[in-house]
Amino acid sequence: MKLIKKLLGLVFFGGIAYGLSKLAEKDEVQETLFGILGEDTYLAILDKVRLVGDLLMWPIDFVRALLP
Amino acid sequence: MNPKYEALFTPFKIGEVEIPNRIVQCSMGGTTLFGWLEPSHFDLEGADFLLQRAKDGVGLVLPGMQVIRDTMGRKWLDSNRQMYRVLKPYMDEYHKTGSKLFIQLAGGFGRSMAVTPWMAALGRNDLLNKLASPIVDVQYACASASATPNRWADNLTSRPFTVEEIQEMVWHFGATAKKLREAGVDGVEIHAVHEGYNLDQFAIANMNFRTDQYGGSLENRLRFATEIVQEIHEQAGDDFPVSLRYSVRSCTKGWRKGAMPYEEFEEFGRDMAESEKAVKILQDAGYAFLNCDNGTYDAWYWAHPPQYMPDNCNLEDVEHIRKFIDIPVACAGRMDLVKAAEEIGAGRLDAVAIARQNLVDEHWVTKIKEGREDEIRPCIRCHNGCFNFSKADGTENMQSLGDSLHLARCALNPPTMQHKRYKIVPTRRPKKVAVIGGGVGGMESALVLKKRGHEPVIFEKDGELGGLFLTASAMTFKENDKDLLRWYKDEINRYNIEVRYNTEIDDLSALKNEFDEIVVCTGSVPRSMPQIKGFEKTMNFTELLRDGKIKDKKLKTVVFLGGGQSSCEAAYDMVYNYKKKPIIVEYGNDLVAAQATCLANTSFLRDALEYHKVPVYLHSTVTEIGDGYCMIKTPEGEFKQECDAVVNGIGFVPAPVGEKGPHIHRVGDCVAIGNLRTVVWRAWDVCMRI
Repeated sequence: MKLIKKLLGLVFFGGIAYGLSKLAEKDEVQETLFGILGEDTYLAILDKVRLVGDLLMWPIDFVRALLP
Repeated sequence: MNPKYEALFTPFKIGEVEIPNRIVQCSMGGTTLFGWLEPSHFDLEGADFLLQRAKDGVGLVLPGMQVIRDTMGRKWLDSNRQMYRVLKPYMDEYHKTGSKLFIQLAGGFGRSMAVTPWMAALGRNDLLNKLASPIVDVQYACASASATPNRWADNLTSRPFTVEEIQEMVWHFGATAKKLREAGVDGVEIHAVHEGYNLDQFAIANMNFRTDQYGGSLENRLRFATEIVQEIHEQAGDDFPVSLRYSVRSCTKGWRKGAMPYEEFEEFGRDMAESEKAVKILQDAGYAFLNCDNGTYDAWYWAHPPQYMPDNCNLEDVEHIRKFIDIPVACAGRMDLVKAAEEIGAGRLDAVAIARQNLVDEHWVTKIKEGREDEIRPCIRCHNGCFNFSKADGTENMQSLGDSLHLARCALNPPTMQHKRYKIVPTRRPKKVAVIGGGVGGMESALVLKKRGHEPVIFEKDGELGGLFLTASAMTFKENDKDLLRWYKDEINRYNIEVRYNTEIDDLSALKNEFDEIVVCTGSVPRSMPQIKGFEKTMNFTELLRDGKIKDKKLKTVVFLGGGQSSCEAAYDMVYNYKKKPIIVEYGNDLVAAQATCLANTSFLRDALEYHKVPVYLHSTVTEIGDGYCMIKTPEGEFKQECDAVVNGIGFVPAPVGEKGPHIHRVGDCVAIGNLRTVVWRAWDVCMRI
């Protein structure tokens, strides 16, 4: 039961994270965040998000390539 | 089309494959179809870039080098079946363009492997290397013909390949080529008896001390390369064309030491006499095309020429070597297209190989075809975005992690190899935007804003656009920089962007009524060090270069305070073009010791200043500046140096105008001191969202 709850939690939060990341790709959302945060904060966050994205994609490509 | 380019647009053949024109896109690390250092997979960004190049009209596209065995993961390139399944429909789509595609297969880096500190630590320690070897085997990745010193890391020596390892690799070249052919790829290029890569290390006598069948005579040293082409023909068919990336001469004086283009020296690598024999052996072995230049990693500026190298720097050697063989030959290295067309038209050359121009302008071939060559954005050979492997004395490769993951991006053209991140999206709310400053940051911002549908107005305090880049481009050898400035000015005109010249803005509030947004691009000012007595007597780069004091006959001996890129470039211009006596005083342990400045650029400056015997004082500083002299403090002591001027080369500090605010944005050096890449990319980051 605990395992199922954990899995459901993982799916739930994973889904939210995925949805947010897709939302953040939209130009209108980016423009809005840019206006709210100011360009310095926005660009600093964007820079980190991009690096994290790159670092996450790299092992994903890694694992995907190792699969038969 | 201007008739002077016509010869470029005639077909030619490599083996039985017809290439529609003479323009070859050289392979560039990062523009790979199957990933860079990570395990091979079909790389969507690389695939999109290469397809766009084919659509633009490049005759033969060579994707970035693909090591036959992954550096990370250590799988052979022929082992990922899914990758080839995806490649097949891609090639069908690709061939609709009429362009041809040869995949560049590499035998590895050997001693040229640009190891980062953690890789060097693994490579030096047998136990750590063994533990990490299922993922990355640095000692294998650096293995070479013989035990030779690494180009990047001190105290790291390549281990020799075993004969079994060589033969295993040769077989996989054949197996990979077979799979590529089945997927529709037109040919392969073997990388490389060129630039000091692994196969070149086997070929060069001073890097190959083997006594087996892969060492000794020239035939033996070329055996690895000849067995590869024979194996490919065995497995993929005799009619499958195999090109070879080839350096005619090494232009190398010794380990980590290159030769100037005008220097007489004793060749450490491959000289012309040996090259004349080598090309015949390689042709007889089955190579159908030689894609040529010069250089090694020790003389990197020949293979990746910065602005300091002359145009067509390898052409004479390449045309010479062509006389000894019957197969077609291409030449790479700062090739001028008009000159290339002349040589092809005259039958002295078969194709022109162009690399980084493809990154900076995605439509350059189309523009030539349509007679719009003036609209081509020029490559300035900075290597800041595409190839910024950097090194100073005592360091390994200083490249940042983000750049290691993504080579082949462009300092001047952010969408290159990141087209989903940087794109022009038309605005839904057009605004009137004031751009303060007409330097590169201001002009790039205005162009991005205009393309999105905004209405930018540039305020420039001088009577000319360019800002500090007018100074940077003033040096004799900076023709590409001057071309870039001309291009920017033309683009501003072409997009009909209003420029208010001779208008200095001190108070942003005055603009708020007229404009919805303000972008501040006011750049930087020279840093000051008032603690140095007499510092106010220093000359800045604008006075020296743009105002023309460099030409002043009274100015003979000049001390540069600081050994950064600007100082070294100005010192080189001074000694080489004006026959003056520069002296460089640098606080650190090396010249141009900056991350993101490519070793091809920095090593030229270091080698050139040494060749011209420019005095360089490291770990030193200037303590006092007087009339006609300065005091230089070195680790050995302090002395008086007579000089006609001291140039302030200690750097710049941001000089923004006004306060920050919700509709006020900052771009370029007024945020933080950087380079053209940081300026241009931030201009996009900011202006894509206004």
